[in-house]
Amino acid sequence: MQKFLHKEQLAREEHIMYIPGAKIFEIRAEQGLPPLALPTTDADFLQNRMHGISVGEIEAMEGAGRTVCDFEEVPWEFTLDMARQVWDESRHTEIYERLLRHVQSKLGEYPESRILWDCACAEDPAARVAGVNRGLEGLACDVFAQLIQLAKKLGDPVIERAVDFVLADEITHVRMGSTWMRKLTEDDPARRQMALDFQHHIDELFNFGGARQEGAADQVSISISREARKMAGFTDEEIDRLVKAASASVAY
Amino acid sequence: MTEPSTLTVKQAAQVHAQHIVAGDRTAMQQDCVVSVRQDPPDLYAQLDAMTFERYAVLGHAKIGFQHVFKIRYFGAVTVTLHHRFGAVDGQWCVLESERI
Repeated sequence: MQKFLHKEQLAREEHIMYIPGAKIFEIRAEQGLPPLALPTTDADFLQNRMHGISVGEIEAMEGAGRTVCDFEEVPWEFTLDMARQVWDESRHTEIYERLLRHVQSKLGEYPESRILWDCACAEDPAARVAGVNRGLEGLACDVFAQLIQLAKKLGDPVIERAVDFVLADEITHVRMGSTWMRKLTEDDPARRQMALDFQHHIDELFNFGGARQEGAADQVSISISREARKMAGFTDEEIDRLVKAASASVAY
Repeated sequence: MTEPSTLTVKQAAQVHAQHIVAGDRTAMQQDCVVSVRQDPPDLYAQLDAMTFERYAVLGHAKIGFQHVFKIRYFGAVTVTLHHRFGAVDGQWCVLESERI
């Protein structure tokens, strides 16, 4: 079986269009739009955001599956946790596919950037879980907590409850990632630092040049959720570091 | 532009695809903005030299206020393109075409 797949090798139905993230941002910038849809600038914000999460969940499912098969020299329990994550992400994929229908959209209505997949390609398992489980799933904590707040504001209990169920899993995934990053690097501080550096690189990428920041759910593109991140086990110091890095990010 | 401004973006995409299959170079050009982006840079010249029997619209995605269509053209050679449409003076025009 081939290991370490490239993004061009992901199987998709024909109607799901792959367009690189940088190009999508460029096209949005041409129209005077921020890189990510904003409740204040995009009339189709909810559909757009829900679509981004849906394809993100598909990529997360594929990424966790790939981790199961890419690494053989890891503890059996690590593989088992990643297999459990595939199961979780496949359930999320189904939930978001239905939420897309709930907001009158469908898979393929927006392009897929595969940015998430790009970030799931570390060749060291410790870096892989640091980047995916702590970086990307940390991002999911922010995005989902924001979506729950927006759903409350809109008075939409379907979105509010469905996303809350998914958020609970993502919190578990972050915790799982933190545990494995520490365990896999417990006698190797240099390897741990490399894993953390990779996570910080992912964090920086998903600050989207300042689009992620602390702020009201309906005012910023991605609102950093201290509450969800603390539930996921991030320390105050780690969250402060992210907030500082996000605010220092160059505006797109 | 030769098409009426009442065309929806889906209709404009169909019309452009029909022009490509018909090999109607003038109409093809009229569907596009003057500075249409092409990848490869001579894409329309290449299309002009090809013969297609039919096309199929495979996908339609939105980016902001613009629309991207994934269209496959079938002939001696089969090519798949992304055509990006934007509204210019009230009409849907091709801003960019890319071979994928």
